[in-house]
Amino acid sequence: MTSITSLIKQWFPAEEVHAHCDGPCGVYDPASARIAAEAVLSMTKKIMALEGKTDLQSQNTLSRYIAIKEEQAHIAKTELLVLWTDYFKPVHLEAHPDLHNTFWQAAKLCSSVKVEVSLEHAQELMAAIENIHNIFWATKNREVTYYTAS
Amino acid sequence: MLKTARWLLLPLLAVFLLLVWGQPRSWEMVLWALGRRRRFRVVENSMLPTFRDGDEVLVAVGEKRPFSPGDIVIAQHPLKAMKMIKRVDRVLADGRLFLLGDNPAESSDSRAFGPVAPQLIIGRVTGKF
Repeated sequence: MTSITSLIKQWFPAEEVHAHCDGPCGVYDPASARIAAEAVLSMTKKIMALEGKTDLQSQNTLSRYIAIKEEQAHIAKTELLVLWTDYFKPVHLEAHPDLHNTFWQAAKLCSSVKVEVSLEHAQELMAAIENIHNIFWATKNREVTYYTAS
Repeated sequence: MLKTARWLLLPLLAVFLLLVWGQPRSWEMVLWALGRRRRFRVVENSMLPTFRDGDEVLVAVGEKRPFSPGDIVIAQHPLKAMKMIKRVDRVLADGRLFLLGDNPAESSDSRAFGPVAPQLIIGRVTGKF
């Protein structure tokens, strides 16, 4: 039976119906925001370690750290906004009523860590992303342990 | 000529019945063979875990019975030239249907395009092909 139906399927494919999702779907993971935020935290620490050094090499290194921090803070914000606006749906708000505020505060932290050299805010951003990680995987009914690369 | 055809037909029918009988979906297959079911092929993942990309389903078209929550239906997308497969979540007082995918994380459904008029429903899914 199964082979007959599979032959029919192969030779006379039926009309398509879409179990569809707008956009190139499905691949979302707060990990991409977490990696960028970790880079920001790391750069913040490295910038602070260079405080008071005036030699040319140190200044060159400092410029590079600042450039990377700017870039990664922006990436973290973009990744969070994509999750917020594209992945999360109104139904998720029922289970997580604080979702909008969570993302708003996390996005604001991305701005702070970009402008400032603040260890405190960089760590707060990491905590916010851990929180989002937990909410995200809860909506998928999957247990994914949070971890950091560094 | 007619006689030989009949002698061929009877064993063939017997073999067909042997293959078909005892299968849980055999009656559906008979209905399909009689033209009472239409086949559709599911693409994409919004009906996981019920239907996977590539699964084929049998659909009862033009039934008189009203749809009820839990039914899986084939519907015309209200905004695009596309047929879609979704599950009836609830039936509104005005008869429109709120449709959801079984895999809400990967589904665009009534949460995005609102409830769907019953005239846009093509048929009810009765089983896998």
